[in-house]
Amino acid sequence: MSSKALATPFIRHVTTRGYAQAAPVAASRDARIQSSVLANNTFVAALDNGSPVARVTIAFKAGSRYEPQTELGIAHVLRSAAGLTTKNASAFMISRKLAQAGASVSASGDREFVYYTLEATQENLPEAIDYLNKLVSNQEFRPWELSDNVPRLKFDLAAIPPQVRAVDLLHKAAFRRGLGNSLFIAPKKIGTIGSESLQHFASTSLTQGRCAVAIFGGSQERAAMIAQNLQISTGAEGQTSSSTYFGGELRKEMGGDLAHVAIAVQGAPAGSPQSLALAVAAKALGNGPVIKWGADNTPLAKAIGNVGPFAAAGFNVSYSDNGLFGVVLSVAKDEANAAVKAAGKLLKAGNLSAEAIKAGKNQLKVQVLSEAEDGTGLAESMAAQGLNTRSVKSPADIANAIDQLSNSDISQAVSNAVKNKISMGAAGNLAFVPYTDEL
Amino acid sequence: MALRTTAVLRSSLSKWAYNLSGFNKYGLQRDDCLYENEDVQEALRRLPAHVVDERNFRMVRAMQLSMQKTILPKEEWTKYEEDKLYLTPIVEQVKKERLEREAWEKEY
Repeated sequence: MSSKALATPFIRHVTTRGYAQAAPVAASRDARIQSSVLANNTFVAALDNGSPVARVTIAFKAGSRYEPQTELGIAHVLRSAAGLTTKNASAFMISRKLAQAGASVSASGDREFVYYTLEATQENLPEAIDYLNKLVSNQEFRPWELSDNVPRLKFDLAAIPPQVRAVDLLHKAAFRRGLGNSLFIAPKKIGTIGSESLQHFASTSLTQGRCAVAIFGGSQERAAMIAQNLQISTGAEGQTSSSTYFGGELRKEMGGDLAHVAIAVQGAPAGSPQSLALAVAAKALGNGPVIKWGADNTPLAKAIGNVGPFAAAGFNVSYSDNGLFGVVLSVAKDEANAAVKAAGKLLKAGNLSAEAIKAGKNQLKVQVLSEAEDGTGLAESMAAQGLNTRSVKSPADIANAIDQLSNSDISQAVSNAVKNKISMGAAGNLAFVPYTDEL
Repeated sequence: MALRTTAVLRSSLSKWAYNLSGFNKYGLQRDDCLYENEDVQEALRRLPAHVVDERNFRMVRAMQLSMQKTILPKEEWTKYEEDKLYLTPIVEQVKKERLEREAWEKEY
């Protein structure tokens, strides 16, 4: 459920010719997710469903929340440096061998984790896994390769949508440090993070105790083998500084015609029953029109009313020890005052009708189940769940748990959450965007 | 014993040859005299900035001395012991990478 903010496809053009013709292996319908913790403290999970395309995710607790305050942005550089020369293989060989195997590797990250995800057909899987291992293990971060990588970082920054900026600012305002660290490197820090700091960060965060391996379309033995073959430092579970919710607001005036605003209150940590209740509530607040170009009949849209074109959705993120629950809103600059105040009022009131909750439950179930259809998403989600809670719930189990929630559970979770101080992050044209104390 | 004698002999022989070659009298080092082909240019790009600056200083000084038809005073000559190969290992690495690339392109 953590936000996937950036995926750097590292071989872009390989998979254009789809695997539709690949002979379907008899898909077993009763495949279950198996998981265990190895002796070296690495978490492994596998779903052996006979998928013709296998996905392997190696995830580490190396997201932006673990950045030292002096090296902010290092997690962004780390995920961007995936595929550079390591002690085991050169960047050239990694990319060519993976391309030759028809495989694709992407490195993506969120505030908690960095994910190295491989997609390959079953017959090419062993070779592709070998190169995934070479890519992840013993990373060297050669200085000249890092400086050659600077344009990619600049492109990443230029490609951030303003809504993402607003949510990023919201995190910074709400948590200050830790979870508040930006997912992205500050433009002025580009090029200042050296090879030594990266190596230090990698050796303390890419360790066996902070690692999870998840495989979609492969056996658990294979997942365990991948985990054992990784040449990473043996450090155990490092200490995690917990992130406290402070609340506040941050604004970034960027001009343009639109204002992008994210307002939120403290949510619940991942794995707690409240986090699921708040996820339902976020969907119940509104998720945009369900028919393209259709009317938006969600409580959020009704509260904002007829102010011209706008987009608004409830959102909920849960991290290992904290979370956020609120609303994201994009609106024309002149209507921002009325729209943001209406959204803030709805969030603070914190009462949802039974119909809205029912719709929210259905929408969340559809989202959970349809995201699991995509193997890559499921593999990364298995790894993230393993790192957060040391266990994995199947999408069907989560859907069941959503059904089990009663309306009073959800109202209770929402009314507890909205007692907290409200936080706000805003980007775009902020001429008429109110401040939090004016909401 | 014989082995040690051979080593000493070899080292004094290479020292003699080093002093005979003469570039040390301009204050240059062995790696300053490499012909700048593409491999060496790539290796130079990978050096830390201050090492490149020192190299450029030595080369400019050598050109100045050569124009003036003179050499450095003897105590400023590069000594064999102080002449570290700062570039050759990187050139070797670059060459290895290039050969790997060429071998791949030949094969596929």
